[in-house]
Amino acid sequence: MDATAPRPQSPPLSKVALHIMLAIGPEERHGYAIMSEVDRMTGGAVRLGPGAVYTTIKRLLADGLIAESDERPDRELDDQRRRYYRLTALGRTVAAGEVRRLDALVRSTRPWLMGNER
Amino acid sequence: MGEVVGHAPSSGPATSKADGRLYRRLLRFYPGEFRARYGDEMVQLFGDQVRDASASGRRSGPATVWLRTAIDLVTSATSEHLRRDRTMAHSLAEPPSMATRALGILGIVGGLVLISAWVPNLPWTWELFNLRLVLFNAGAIAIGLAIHRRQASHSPRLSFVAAAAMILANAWYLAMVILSIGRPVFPEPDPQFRLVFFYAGMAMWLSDAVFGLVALRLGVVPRWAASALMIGSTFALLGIDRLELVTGPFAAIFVPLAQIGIALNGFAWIALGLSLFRSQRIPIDPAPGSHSAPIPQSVPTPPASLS
Repeated sequence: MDATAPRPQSPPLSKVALHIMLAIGPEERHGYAIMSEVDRMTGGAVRLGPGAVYTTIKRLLADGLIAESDERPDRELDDQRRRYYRLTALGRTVAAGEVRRLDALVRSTRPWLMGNER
Repeated sequence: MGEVVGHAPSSGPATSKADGRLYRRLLRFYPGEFRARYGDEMVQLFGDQVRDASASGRRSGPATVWLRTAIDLVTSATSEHLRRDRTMAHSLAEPPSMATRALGILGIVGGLVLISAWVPNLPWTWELFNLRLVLFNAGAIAIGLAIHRRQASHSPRLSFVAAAAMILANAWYLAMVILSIGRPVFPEPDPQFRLVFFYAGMAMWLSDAVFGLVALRLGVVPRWAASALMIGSTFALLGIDRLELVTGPFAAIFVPLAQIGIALNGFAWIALGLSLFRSQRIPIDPAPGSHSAPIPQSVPTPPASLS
C-alpha cells in the first residue's frame, strides 16, 4: 500500500472545498479573488457563486482548514471591509492528501481509460 | 505568511445599487446566523461580479451573473439549511432533569383532566370539577416553567415575558377556582366575584395563546403542539359565557368551536409535557464569526462535513 495515500476512512473533500483550498494556495485571498482564481484554474469550467463560496468557507473555517487573515492590504489598493482567508497547516496537509488521492486515481485509471487515445 | 492577494476588481461601470439591494434581500433565504456573518461579503462579491460583467461590454453579462447567482442561491441556501438541521440533530443532547420530568408529568396530567370532560359517564360533581380545574392550571404552570427553562437560551426576554404572563394568569385563575370552593354555585350572588373570574378566564386563555405563539416562534418544542396551544386557547376563549358568543344567535358555531379549542388545548399540554422527556439539543455549530475551531494535531484527514 502506498504510504502517501490517504487513509481509507478519510472522506474525500467536496469538489468545491478542494477548489477553494487550491485557489487560496499559498496566498491570502478574499472571496472574489478565490472565485476568480477557481474560474482561472479550471478554464471557466467551474464557476462558483457567492453562496457556494461562503457556505464552503464557513465549513472550512469551522474545520480549521482555513483561517481568516489578520492582515489587510493597503487602504488604497482594496476595500478595507474585505476579509482575507489563508490555508492553515492542517488545510495544506489535507489538500495535499486529497491531491495525492486524485493523482493516484488518475494514474490507476489512465491506462484503460485513455488507452484508445494512444 | 502568504502574500495578500487582493486585487481590486477591474474598473468599469459602477455596480447598480439596485442589484446589490435586491441581492441583499434575497439573502433572507439563508439561515440568520449565516447571513449575519457572511452577508456583507456575499453582497460585495456579487457586486464585484456584476461590475466585471458590465465592464466586459457584453450586454448579457449582468443577466448571466444574475442567472448563475439565482441557481447558486437556491442550491447553497437549501444545503445550508439542511446542514444546519443535521448539525442540530447530531449535536450534544442533554437528558431532561428530574425536575423537568416532574413538571412534564404535571403538564400531562393537566391536559388529561382537561380532555376528560369528553369521557362519558364520569360523575361530575362540583368538587370533582374544581379539582379538575386545579390540576389543569397547575399543569399549565408546570409546563410554562419547564419550557421557559428550555427556550430562555434562544430569546430570554421574549420567553420570560410570555411564560411569566401565562404562569401568572393561570395562577390567578387557579386562585379564583380555589376561592370559589364552598361558595354558592349558581347563580353566583357576588357579581364582583364573577367579574373578576371572567377577567381571570380571559387572561388565562389569552396568555396561553400568546405562550403558544412564542413557543412556535422559538421552535424549542414541537411546532404542531405550540400551534395547537395557540389555536386551541384562542377558540376556547370564545366559549367564555360572559362574551355571550356561546349563548347568542351564532351559538351553533361558537359552542363546537369552543369545545374544539378546549380539546386542542388539552392535547397541547399533553404533547408539550411529553416533549419535555426528550433530550434537549445543544447545537455545537461554531458561533457566527468564529474561525478558531480547535485544529486536530495528528490526523490530517478531511472532516466528514466537507464530503
